[in-house]
Amino acid sequence: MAISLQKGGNVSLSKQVPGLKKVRFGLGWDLRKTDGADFDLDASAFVLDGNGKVLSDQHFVFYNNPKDPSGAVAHKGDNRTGQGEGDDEVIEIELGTMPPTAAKVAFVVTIHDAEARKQNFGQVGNAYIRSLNAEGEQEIARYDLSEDSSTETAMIFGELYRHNDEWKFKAIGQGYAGGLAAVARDYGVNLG
Amino acid sequence: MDLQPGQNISLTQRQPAPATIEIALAWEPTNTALAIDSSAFALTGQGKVRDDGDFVFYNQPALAGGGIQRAGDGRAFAVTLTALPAAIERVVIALTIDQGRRRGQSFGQLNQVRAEIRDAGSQAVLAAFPLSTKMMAETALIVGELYRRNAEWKFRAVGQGFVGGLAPLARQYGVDVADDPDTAEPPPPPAAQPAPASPPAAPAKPIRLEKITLEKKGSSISLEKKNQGFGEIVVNLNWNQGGGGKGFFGRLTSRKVDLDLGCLFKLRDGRAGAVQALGNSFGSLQQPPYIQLMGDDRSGASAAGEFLRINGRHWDELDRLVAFALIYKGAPNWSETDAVVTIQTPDQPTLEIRLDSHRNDQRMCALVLLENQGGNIKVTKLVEYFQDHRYLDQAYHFGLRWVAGSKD
Repeated sequence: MAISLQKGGNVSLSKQVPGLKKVRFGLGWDLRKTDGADFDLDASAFVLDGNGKVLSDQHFVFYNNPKDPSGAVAHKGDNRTGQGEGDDEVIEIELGTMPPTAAKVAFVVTIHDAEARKQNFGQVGNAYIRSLNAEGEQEIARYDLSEDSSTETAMIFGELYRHNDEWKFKAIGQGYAGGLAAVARDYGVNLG
Repeated sequence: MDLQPGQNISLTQRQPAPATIEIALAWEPTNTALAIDSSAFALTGQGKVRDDGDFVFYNQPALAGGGIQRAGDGRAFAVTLTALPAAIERVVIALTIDQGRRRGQSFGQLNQVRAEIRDAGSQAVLAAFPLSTKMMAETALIVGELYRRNAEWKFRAVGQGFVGGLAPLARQYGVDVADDPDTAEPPPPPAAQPAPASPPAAPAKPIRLEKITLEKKGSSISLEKKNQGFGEIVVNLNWNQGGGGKGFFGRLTSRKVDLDLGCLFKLRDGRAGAVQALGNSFGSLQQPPYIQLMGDDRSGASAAGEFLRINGRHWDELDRLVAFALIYKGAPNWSETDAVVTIQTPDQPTLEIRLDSHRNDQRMCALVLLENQGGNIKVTKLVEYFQDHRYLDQAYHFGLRWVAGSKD
């Protein structure tokens, strides 16, 4: 049975699934039901060192850069294949081939063109992040953010991080002003 | 504090926690040509109504079983959190423009819609949500929602809606809509329809959105008698102070002009009389004249004006009645009352009459004539002004004798 995390809560994925090799992170939200501009949400992953900075610009994994150099972190794009049913975007991580210097992966969702469309996460219904064992699709832990969001246009949904020899997953739910560019800069990405 | 769309705030994390939350709705400019209606949807965790009784609007002004009351001519809702059924997790508050799409109207014609969230007990303002509506093409607008979150109740400002109006809004929450006032042809007068051969058997009837405004003086409509006769007919007179200097919500909270509702009636057996506060002639529902004046509605939401109730099971014994409004004290100032008469009859469209002409030199206004025509109720808009009861009586031939009376 999957663990339901509250904001700030964490779970050891390694302990929940001994021998876990590949983790799938599914992120989802409700489509807009009212009239008006759709919510166009983008998920990104930042592969970070012990100081919370990206290992390189190529370790900012998003729609224009779907894999990190090692290939361990892969953005699967919009999920239209039926895999991970219900998830809007999927990021898969091969734990065994993660660079040794990678201490943490942050999963961030941003609202595209939020300023112009006057949109924020408080208007997005039923946002969540869940982690699954990619082999067998078993859900390990889940975090429903909907109530932890308000007027933010970017949100750190969760983090995967090393703790001794384990991989743990933490529910973050922290808002961020300024959109994807501001998040990327704070993580040390050199934007052109 | 002012909320932005998407923002939420806790309502019950305060001491003492409010028992009843009041949501007051206002818009600018106030003297708009848009016919703005309000509604509330009581929703389960699945985001749907349990049944059509969870849709609170002009034809159904309270939640079946209690907990939500529409008041103030639709400009306010009172939500008693502790009285809501446990299954209800969200209460959505929405504004719609009656026939907006058909008339080419939208919320973009307003500058602003504003909701104020108050503790009904202390009248403390917990939050306000000013929403700029310029450029909005929507004719239905979800203003915000109250929702349960763990052990507390919160309010979220929404500010989204539907171009198509009330019907798509209601369907979104699972309300079975029979008639879409925006796309349907104007409803024919019910009298023009053939009488049903047998009473409708389906217990789950789609809810009626239909509302008929009698626009012109002398225009009328006939409510057709069904097999079981009429239920309780409710004539409501509601009014606002209008245009005062007491701020955006002054209309709701203070009234300079006080109106009294009453009626002159004539029974089929020839007896005639008056039901009114003057002389304490409040009438009776169970005995002739089968008309009763309620200074207030039964739920105690005093913002909802005054009510005349008519026992429709005895409609056959009534010949006709003229409902009137009286300004008992102070200088008559009809133009500031912004008064509206609504007539609600079960399984019939709601009828609405606005006092759209004013005579500030007269104290009395004949509002509406209800006549028994072959068992049906013919409703005619009057809005004619008179100096006192005597002239009104003469004009409509009730033949009463008048002496001076007082309310005391």
